[in-house]
Parts: sequence; structure tokens; C-alpha cells
Amino acid sequence: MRTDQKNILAKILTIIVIAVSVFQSGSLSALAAAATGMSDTMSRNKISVPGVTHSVSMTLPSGTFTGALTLTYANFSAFAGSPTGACATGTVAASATSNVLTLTLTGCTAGTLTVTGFTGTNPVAAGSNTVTLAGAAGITGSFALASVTDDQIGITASVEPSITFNVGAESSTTPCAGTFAGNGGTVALGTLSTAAVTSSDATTSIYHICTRVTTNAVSGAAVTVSSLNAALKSTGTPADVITSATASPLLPGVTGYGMCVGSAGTDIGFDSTVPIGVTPVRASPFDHADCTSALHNIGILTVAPQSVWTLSAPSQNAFARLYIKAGISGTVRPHTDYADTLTFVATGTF
Amino acid sequence: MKSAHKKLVIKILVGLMLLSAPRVVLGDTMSSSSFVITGDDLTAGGGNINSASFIAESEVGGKAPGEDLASASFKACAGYPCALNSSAPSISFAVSPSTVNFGTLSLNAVSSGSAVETVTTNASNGYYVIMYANGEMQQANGQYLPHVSSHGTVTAGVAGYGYSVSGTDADPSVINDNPIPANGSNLGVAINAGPVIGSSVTVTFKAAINYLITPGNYSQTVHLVAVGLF
Repeated sequence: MRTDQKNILAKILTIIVIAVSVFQSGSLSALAAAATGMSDTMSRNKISVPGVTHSVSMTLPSGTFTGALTLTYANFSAFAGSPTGACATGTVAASATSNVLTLTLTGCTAGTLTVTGFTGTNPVAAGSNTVTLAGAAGITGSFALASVTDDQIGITASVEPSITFNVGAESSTTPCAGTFAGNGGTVALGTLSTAAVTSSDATTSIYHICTRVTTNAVSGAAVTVSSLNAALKSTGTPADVITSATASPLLPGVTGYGMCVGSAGTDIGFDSTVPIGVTPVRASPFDHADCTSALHNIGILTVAPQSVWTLSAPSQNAFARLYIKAGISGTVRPHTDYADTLTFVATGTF
Repeated sequence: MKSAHKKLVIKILVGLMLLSAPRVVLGDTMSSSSFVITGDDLTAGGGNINSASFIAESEVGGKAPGEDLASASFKACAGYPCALNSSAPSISFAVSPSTVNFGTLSLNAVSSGSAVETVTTNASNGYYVIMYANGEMQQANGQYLPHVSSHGTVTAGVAGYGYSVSGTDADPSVINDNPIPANGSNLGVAINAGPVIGSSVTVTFKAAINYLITPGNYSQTVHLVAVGLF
């Protein structure tokens, strides 16, 4: 092959290489303009809902982009707000009207582009709705948003009012607690003495009374007591009574009968739960600071119901220990059948 | 130039063009914003085009035979030109039922009820579904059921309210039972990194009470949002 022929071939090959290169680079450039990772997180998918917030995100391809980028939302309407945008490098100005989000890019480079701060009305029909990217910035692409007939779940439940109550005589060696489950019973005071006050007491094995309430009553509950006789009365000789009276304290050799709510820290309590319940509050006249097996400050028991302790709000396994006490002077007539009946009632205020 | 030389030059040019032209196409990723061909063949024999949600036959000899390129949620023709123009972005979403009624809550059992959300999308990067609430599970007077602890368990006799998710696409960050705060924060429901057809996740709401829960009627509304990642 001659030299001139070689030159011609070389020129032809050069042209071909250039042409191929141009073609290839042109192709790459066109593909590079497609955005990826496109999404729009809306606050609602339900059809026809107005004021739905949008949060757009996409990834720009390699290159530097300047100019308009429009996102046209098929089937959406009433775009409003003051959208703000950001890109990896460069600036984004944004506006939203009708169903078009218009962005003006200035020097945006590859990376994440986000737009928030605009709202719109969702399509009137359920389905898939295309968002198309176009504009002079040369960024293309499309993605879709769902519109659905209903996008929400309504959850309902009911809670019934509730109150449970236990009251009963309990062995003097067993303190009252939230687990108390007794009902009824007898507190046998035994033989009364002028030398000492007779009381519920572990050392004398005289029972005390346990009360326990659980309720979800919003305004809490009250435990009341009423005395059949307002006294210890002889069954065989009803005229002979040991009358109940408030005493602070009841002293040996003094005739008296009454009840008090234990003042020791462990005499009242409730379960620690979520939500938090409330502790029982002792009520007058049974709320003296000194009410133990050895401290005899008692309240009068009457026929009319009196509050023993209260709850100001719901409480679970709220309990209180009650002491029964009596004393006599030397003039109290002897009988073996002095007795009284105490009736307790728990009432919730819902 | 002699005639023989001219013929030689022409043959070389034709040969180069034949070699270079296909490279222009093969050298590029055969994709659009919503479609990727992972196996293609520009000459003869064809190849399969696969993704998580569809399988399609590729072209033979650069033509588009266009057979069997359809499923319940996807249609396509064969060949790169077809691919460029097919697979319009799409996402569908459904939630059912729209109400869950626990009835009367019991001290002795956990009450529960479920709803199912279903997504179909050809989004190449998948999708996610979130849930949020703008109020507590509460009464009109504001009394509300306490939240179960995060990743906890709603237990009979212990006051607590929350949700769990189950299903292939269930959000793995939602472990056991989780609270539904009233502040509108996004809660995970479902997630998948690729296209799906009819992917369902069950959202189960659970409630339990103790003796202290205020009696009355409780209600809450939660919203579910599906987002395609194209």
C-alpha cells in the first residue's frame, strides 16, 4: 500500500473513531440525565384529601444541572405552599401550583435533591398516578404515587366500670395486704377487763378486720361502716350496753367501744401499677394518728353509715387494717353475750 | 486509488461500522429510571430478563418477538427499544379492613385485631409503608390506654396498647409489640428493596388493661402511607 493510500486509510479510521466516540458520549449523556431513587412521601394516600403534604426526594446523575425541572403530578390538584429545595451542591428554587412542582436548579451536581413544604389535593380516583420529570435542566424520569379509597384504620374498644370489695376478720398474725380475699367472720374480743383495753392484737390473738377495694372509678371509692347497735349490746339483756364513743385514747377502766384504721405504714397500701393507683385515705373519726394494737385512739361507731377510708381515684388492691377495741369500768354488768354487727359497704364514684 | 484498494477500504469501513455500532448499545447500561435488563443478547438466541417481580424473554437478533411478556401486574415487549418505552411507573396500595373493634377489653386476656395492607409496585428500589397517629387510643375526655414498651409484649392484666407486624415484607425494625405514639411520628410497617406484586403485611393491634383503666369507650385512628422508590 502506498503512502498516500495509508494516509487516506488513517484519516478514515480517525473519522470513524471520532464518530464512534461522539455517538457513545452522546448516548451516555442522554442516559445520565435520568434521575434515580425518586420518591414522594405524602401524608395521606386517600383520594380527594386536600392539604396533603409532600416530601420529594431523588438522586441526580453525574453532571451539573442548571435550569428548570418540572414535576407534573397526574391527577393531583391545588398545589400550594412555599416549597423549599436543596441539592448536593448548588441551589434550588421551587414553586408549586395546580399539579406542577417547578424547580429552578442552579449548578446542582450529582446527589440527593429534596423538596418539601408544599401541599396538594389527592386524585379523586384510586389508582397509580404518574409524576413526570421534564424541563430545560435536562433531567428526566418518572415515578408513581398511590391513591386509595381509604388509608386509615379506626380502632375502637370499651372498658367496663369495675369495683371489687373484700372485708372480713383476719387472724391477728396476718397483716392486711392487697392479696386479702376473706369475707365476713367474727372478731371475738373475749372477756373484757377493767385493767386493760381489749384490742385486735397479735399477742392476744384477737382478730383485726381487713378491707380491700379495687376499682377503676374515675372519682375513686369510699368504704363505709354502720353499726347495728352503736354499742356492744347484751343479746339476752338488751338494755345492757357498752356504748361506742370516740376516745383519744380509750383508757383502761373506762367504758368504751370503737374502731380505728391502723396508723402504721403497713396498715394501708395498694398495688404499684401503670397507671398509678392511689393510696387509701383514712376518714374521721377513725383516722387518729395513734391506732395500733397498743395505741387506742378510736372513733365512734354509729348506726348511720360513716366513711372509714376513701380513694380519690382508681386504685388496685387498695387495703386498710381496722382495729376493734373495747374497755369497761367496774360498773358494766356482766354478760357473756355482748355483741355488735358491723356492716361495711364500698361505693365507687364513676 | 485502485479499484481493489477502494474495495478494501470499503470492506474495512463496513467491518468497523458493524463492530462499532453494537458496542454503542452494549457498552451502556440497558436501563431507564424504572427498568433494568440484567441479561440481554443483541445477536441471536435471546436471554431472560429477570427481576424480583417479573421474567421476560429477551429479543432474538435484535427483534422483539413480544410473546409471553405479561403478568397480572406487568406487561412488556421484548427488545431493548421496547424496554425503554415499557414499564411505566406504577404503585397500588390497599388497606383492609378500615376498622378494628376490640369490643370490651378484658382483665384476663389480650384483645387484638388486625388489618392488612397490600402493595404492588414496579419501583426498582422497592417501597415502604409507614403508619402514624395523631392521637392516643383514648376517650373523649382524654383518658388513654398506656403504651406498651418498645419491642415489648402486651400482656393480659397489664395495661398496654400497641401494634406488631407480620408478613414477608414486615419491617424488621418492628420487633414484638411497639407503642403508637400520638405525636404523628412515622412507624414502620413494611419495606422491600425491589418490585413486588401483591405483597401483604398484617398489622395487629393489641390492648390489655388492668383494674385501673378508666371505663368508657376508647378509639384511635391510624393512617398508613405507601411510598414507592423509583
